[in-house]
Amino acid sequence: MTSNEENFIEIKGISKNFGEVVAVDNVDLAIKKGELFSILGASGSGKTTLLRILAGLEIPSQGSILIDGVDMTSMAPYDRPVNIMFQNYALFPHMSVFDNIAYGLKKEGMDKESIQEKVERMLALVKLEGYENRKPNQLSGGQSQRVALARSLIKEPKVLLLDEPMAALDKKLRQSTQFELMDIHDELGITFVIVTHDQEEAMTLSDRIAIMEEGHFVQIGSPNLIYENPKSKFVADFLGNINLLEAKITEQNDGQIVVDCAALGGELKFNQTEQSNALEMTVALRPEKVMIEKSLPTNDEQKHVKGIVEDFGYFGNLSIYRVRTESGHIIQVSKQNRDRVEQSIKWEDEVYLSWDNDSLMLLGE
Amino acid sequence: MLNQRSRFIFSALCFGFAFLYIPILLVIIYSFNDSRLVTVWGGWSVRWYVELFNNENVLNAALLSFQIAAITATFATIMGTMAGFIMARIKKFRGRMLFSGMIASPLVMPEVITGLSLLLLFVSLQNSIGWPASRGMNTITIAHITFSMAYVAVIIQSRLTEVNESLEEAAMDLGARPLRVLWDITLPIIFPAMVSGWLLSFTLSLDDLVIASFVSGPGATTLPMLIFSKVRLGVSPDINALATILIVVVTLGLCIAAWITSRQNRSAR
Repeated sequence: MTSNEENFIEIKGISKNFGEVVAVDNVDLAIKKGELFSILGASGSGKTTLLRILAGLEIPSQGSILIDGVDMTSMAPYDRPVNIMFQNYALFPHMSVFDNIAYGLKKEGMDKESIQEKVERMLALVKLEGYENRKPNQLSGGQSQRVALARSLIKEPKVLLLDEPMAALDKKLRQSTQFELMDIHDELGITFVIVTHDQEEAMTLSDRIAIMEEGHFVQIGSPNLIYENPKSKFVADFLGNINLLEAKITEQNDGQIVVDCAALGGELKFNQTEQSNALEMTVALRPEKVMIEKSLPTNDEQKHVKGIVEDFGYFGNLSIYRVRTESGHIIQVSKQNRDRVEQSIKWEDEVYLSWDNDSLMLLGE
Repeated sequence: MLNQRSRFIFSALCFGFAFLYIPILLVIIYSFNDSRLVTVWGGWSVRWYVELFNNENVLNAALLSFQIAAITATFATIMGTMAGFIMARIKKFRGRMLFSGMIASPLVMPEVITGLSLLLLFVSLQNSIGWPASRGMNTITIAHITFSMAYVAVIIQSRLTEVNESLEEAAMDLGARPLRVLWDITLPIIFPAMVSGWLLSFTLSLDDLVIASFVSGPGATTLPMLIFSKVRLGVSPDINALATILIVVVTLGLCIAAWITSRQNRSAR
């Protein structure tokens, strides 16, 4: 891979201020060619501003952007090899589906036959054959989304930017659309940059995710890496469910930290080369990595705590329990419902919780 | 209880409507009065309409008024659209507050003051640069454009703030330069608002008496001015006929404007 493919999109020290407010604060990022990259953050984290800077709709206060080795920083949006799909789809209400999709090609001055051919191919790709003459107000949410996607793909941009592409769809439709979007991405090989606040969407779609908070990236990596090895409490909490349990450092020596975690029944050892100055740490444990049983775990080696089921939710494929431990802490546990039997663990039942030591993560702030 | 209350509301409504529309209705009915005396009913007739269409003064005044109204509406729509566009789309520029305040001021300015200030302007212009050489249709038109464009600007601004800016951004993103975006996207979307702005300016110009009286000169008499001067010499029955025709024209204009606006609101949803 050449460096241009490794750093297909290069964001260097980009900042954007709106008056006093700093929306994007000195951000660096490199996105690979053909990657499906997500920027995940809560609203107001600056993710949409960053996307708009990539599209050229917002001029950065500082820094530069290179796409495929070409400096884009001061290039107008109509000259950039980048197209964007807006959250509200922004279909032109006075134009038919065909004219909406063909708009980009018409502005290029392409001849009519080629436009016809390309639009038809695009309609087939998004499975909207036969809808050419409809007006946007005659389309359902899902259909509008496909038209918007087709319109932004037809110029074969080097980069496609998607602003909350699924936000306006209902849950069922969202899942099938996610897979279709991935198929289209694989078929065209265009680099996708998606902005979303939906962590599930980011996890299923992306090759890599950048988590954004208050104008910064807090962690960048594959969904798996971020989920299993979050760098901070914020990331751990943001992505999926997690138990965050208070712990105090009792001992620190070469490569090992010993903490006292009341919720998990006392001392825990972690191999960590990095020394910590703080005394308070957080032990993080994903709910699906906790075993819940009514009898004492057979394996004596394994640490366990006793507790009482305070609450449980039945979701069909899994059940989620909130267990109050003897120490008075709440631990969330999720359990796959593998057997077709009645729920054996119910409210007020006494249970034993156990876990693999590898599942525990020690996090700073 | 509820019934009583609704009966009260209903009668209040009837009273309000009666207060507003019975005088107009009377004018319309009396325009078909056969009698020479305005206040005495003498049977149905259209003789005052016939007389009206044979009266050259009336026809000339009507022609002048409609000409002024058409030119006013056209220029006011063009300039008002530009002003409304700037207020809705350009978020920050030096003097924005001043600009938007000044655009809206003709809406609240007493007509007497607008008329007087424009008269002073025209007189001093005539003294210093020799233009306008005389006051008449041209000065009335200019005066009408100044206050009509304020209405158009407000209509266009409110329409544009409803139109999502991402439509224009999407067009730009797809390769259209700003002027192209204006032509392809913005103007077609606000076109109904421009039409209703045009119709509103047209009726405003047709209605105006005060400002036109200030800035007009000898030989240029608009329809409202003619009516007013005729009434001063005593009410003659043909005025009723003329008033009826004006009512019909203005009502039609406003109805079309309202219909276009409501249709556009429905399609925007």
